[in-house]
Amino acid sequence: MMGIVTVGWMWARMAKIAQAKLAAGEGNKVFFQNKLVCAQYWMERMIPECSMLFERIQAGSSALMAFQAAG
Amino acid sequence: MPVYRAPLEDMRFVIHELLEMEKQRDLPQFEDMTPDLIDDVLNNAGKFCEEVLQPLNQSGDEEGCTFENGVVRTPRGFKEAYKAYCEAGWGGLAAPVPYGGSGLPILLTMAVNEMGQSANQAFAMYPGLTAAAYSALIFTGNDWMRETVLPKMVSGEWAGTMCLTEPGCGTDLRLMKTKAVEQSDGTYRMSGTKIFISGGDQDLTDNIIHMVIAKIPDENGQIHDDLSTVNFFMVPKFLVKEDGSMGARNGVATGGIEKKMGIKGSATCVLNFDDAIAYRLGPKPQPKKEGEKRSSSAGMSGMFGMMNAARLGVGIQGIAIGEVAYQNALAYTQERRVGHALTGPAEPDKPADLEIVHPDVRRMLLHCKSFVEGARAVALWTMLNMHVMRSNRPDAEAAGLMSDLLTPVIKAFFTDMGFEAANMAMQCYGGHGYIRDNGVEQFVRDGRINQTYEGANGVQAMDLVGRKLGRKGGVAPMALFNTINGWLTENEGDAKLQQFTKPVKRGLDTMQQATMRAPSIIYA
Repeated sequence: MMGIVTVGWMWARMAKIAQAKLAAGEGNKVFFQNKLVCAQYWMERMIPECSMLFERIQAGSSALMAFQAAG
Repeated sequence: MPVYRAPLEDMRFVIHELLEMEKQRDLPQFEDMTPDLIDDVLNNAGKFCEEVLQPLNQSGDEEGCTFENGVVRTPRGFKEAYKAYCEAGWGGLAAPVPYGGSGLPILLTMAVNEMGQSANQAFAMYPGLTAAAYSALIFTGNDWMRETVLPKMVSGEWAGTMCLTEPGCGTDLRLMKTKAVEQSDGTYRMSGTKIFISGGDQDLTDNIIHMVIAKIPDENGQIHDDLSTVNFFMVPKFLVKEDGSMGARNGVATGGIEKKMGIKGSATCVLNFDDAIAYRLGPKPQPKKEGEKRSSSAGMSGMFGMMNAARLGVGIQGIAIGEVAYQNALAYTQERRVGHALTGPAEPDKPADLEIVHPDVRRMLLHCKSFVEGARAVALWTMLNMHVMRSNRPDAEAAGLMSDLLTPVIKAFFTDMGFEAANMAMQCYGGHGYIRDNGVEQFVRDGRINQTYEGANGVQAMDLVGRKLGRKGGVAPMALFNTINGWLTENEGDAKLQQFTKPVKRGLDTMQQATMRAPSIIYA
């Protein structure tokens, strides 16, 4: 989760730069457009994993520890 | 045939635009880091990786290493490539200038490292481990080692290894059996067996400097199943004379090499230490006082420094394997034709559209690309923090806390995602991905080890949750929350950016709740 959020923050920062570059018409247009696409992908597809992971954390480890290797 | 193009445009974007290198020139080691110099280093490294290392990746995998009559041989071409690597000075990029290195910031050397790992992970491990070993020697070695051994390791004339794992223990070093007995002249004699030693022997260099952990027996000659007597040693394959030249063969023999799933060009050795002459590194251990409990000895600190650098290096390998796998998948899906786009044929004059028109293929490609580029940004930002933490800036302490906190995250998350990216890239090839000649299944096999070595990813999670989240009242995660939150607050008024800032804020809030709850759930 910490990885997903930290990468997400970097995508937000990169998106900000990409928006500014595109608005100013500077640099490689496709490169910066793809930055926005990737940032959008991360927000829509990866950030939602945080709440899934949180639910999993809250469930605790009782199933893992109750498992008996023999039998 | 697989391809690799160094991602120079993206690296330059991260270094110059995102991390604003021009504003970092006050940091130690950054004074001379002009944009031209940085671009020169990146361009030349990229060219070398594309032209020299990458062409040996597939052949090195096919051929593997061999072991005959006690001698290890690397795949054809590795020796010549290694010589060229050393002559170009790539091995000493990070080493201080007095030892013959270039003294470049780790931020830049990690970017170079990524390219080497993408082009040929098995090859890049030899100089990678040498750099880890000489870095440890800089911090823990004696003057004579710095004068005679270090320059040869920095130039690449000699290589280095890290020897931790034994047949009976990997993660749990308390169970280690290798011992080192002190001699009257202050040296030690080491006996025991170490396994899974990458580059433990090879035919690339004349000499190999092993960095080994072993136990010093107590006054009764006994060793114990704890860390109290573990110390860190230097054990050369050939002894080093006072003038720095090579002397007699030391008592280190190669017992064999492993047959393994991937990184086949990297020799994974069994090393037998038989009364080998060893030199202790770091502060002299004090005898344990009566009733004193000791979890680890001071001698371990040098090893931990080496391990932390190695963990970051492995995280970079995760990014590297994702990058090269993605590049090949992207190329393949723009050549291969299959079916028509769901919205109707994109190229009606052709019997089928390119594979890249299909949504699930695009999902896999974007998954790889957004991971690789996002992870590269986090990794290089963390490297920058490792420079900031040694500066006089007001955020030096926070930078140190965040790089320490994120080390297990970079290792575990980036290697899991790197493997997933390689697997998805292979999926983009359809059945052809499963065919060895096409080269993409090698990335899956090579990338798989990254999740396991330098501390299995489950062990990284224990480091994060058990040690780092709760230490000193959670000061490290607080530093990260405050940094991200500060940026989000600064930018919350930017309406165009809200489609990005809002999800990050949502994720951050969840992470904050989770970090407050996680230790209490786990240790309840």
